[in-house]
Amino acid sequence: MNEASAIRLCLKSRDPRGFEFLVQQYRREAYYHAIGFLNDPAMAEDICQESFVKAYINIPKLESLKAFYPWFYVILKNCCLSYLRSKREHDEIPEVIDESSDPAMLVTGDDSKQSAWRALQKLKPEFREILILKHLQDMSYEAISQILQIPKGTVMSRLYHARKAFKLAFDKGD
Amino acid sequence: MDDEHDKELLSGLIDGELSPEEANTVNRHLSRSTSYRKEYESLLADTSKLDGLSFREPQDEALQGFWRLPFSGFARHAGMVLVITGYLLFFSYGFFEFLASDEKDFVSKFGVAGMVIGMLILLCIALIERFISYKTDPYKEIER
Repeated sequence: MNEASAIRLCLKSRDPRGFEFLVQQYRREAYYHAIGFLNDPAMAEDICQESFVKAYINIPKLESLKAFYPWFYVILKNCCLSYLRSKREHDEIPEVIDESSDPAMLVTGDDSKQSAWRALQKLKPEFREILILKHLQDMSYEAISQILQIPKGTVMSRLYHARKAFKLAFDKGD
Repeated sequence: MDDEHDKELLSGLIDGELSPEEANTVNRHLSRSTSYRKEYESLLADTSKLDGLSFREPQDEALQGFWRLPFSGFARHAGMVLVITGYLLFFSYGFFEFLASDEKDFVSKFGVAGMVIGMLILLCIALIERFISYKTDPYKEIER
C-alpha cells in the first residue's frame, strides 16, 4: 500500500486499513510537531491521538486529498494551539508555553543545544514552528511551503524573522 | 543595501534555497556591502546554534497508542448497553415473579423490594454522574 491508495481507501470505501497505514507513516512526524508546539511529551501524545481521531472522523467528508500530512497538520496544529489557549486561560500564564519540561528529555545534544531549545520555546508559535520544521525536521522550503500552505517566499521571509527572534531569545537566556 | 527583502534573501542563501540569479545578486551585495556581510555572518552564527538539534526518539508504545480503532470503543459501549439492558430485564422479570407469587411472606417481599429499588436508585445516580462527566469531558473523542 502507498499513500495514494491509503487515501483512496479512506475516501471511497471508508476502510480503516487505509487510515492505519497513514497513521503509521506520519505518527512520528506528528509527535515531533506536537512536541514542538507543546514542549510536553505526555500532552503531545494526547494531542496526537486526539488529532488522529478527528482526522479519521473527517477524512471521509473530503471529496479528494492529494497528500495526507499537510491536511492533517492543520488539524494537529489547531489542536495544539487550542490546548495552549485553554491552558493559558486556565493557568493565567502570560507566556505561550510551559517551559517546565526538561529539554534533555525532549532533544538530544549538549548544554548549548538545550539552551537553544529553551530559546525556541520563548518564541511565538509561528516562529517556533518554522524553525523546528527547518532545523529539527530538516525540511526544504518546498516541503515547508506545502505543509504550512504558504508561498516559498514567505517561508524564507518568516525564517529570517524567526532567526532574528531566536537570536534575541537565546542571548536573553544566556 | 539594507532593504528588508534583501536581508530575507540571506536566509535563503544560508539554506541553499536561492535561485542562481538570486544567489548571484546576494553574493554581489555581499562583496560590496560591509553591513550586509555583517548581517550575513550574524545570521549564520545564530543559525548554527540550531544545527544538530534533534528530537529524542519516542518510545514505540507511545507511538502505537496514537491509534486505536474508534470501532473498538463503539463495540465496548454497545456490549455494555446490551449487558446492562439484559441484566435489568432479567432482574425486573424475577422481581415481578417474586412479588406476584402466592406466598404471604410480606417481610421478605418488602425487604427484597427495598434492596432492588435501592440498587436501581444507585444505578441511576451512577449513570447520571457518568453522563454529566461525559458531557463535560474535553477529551471525549479520544480513544482511551
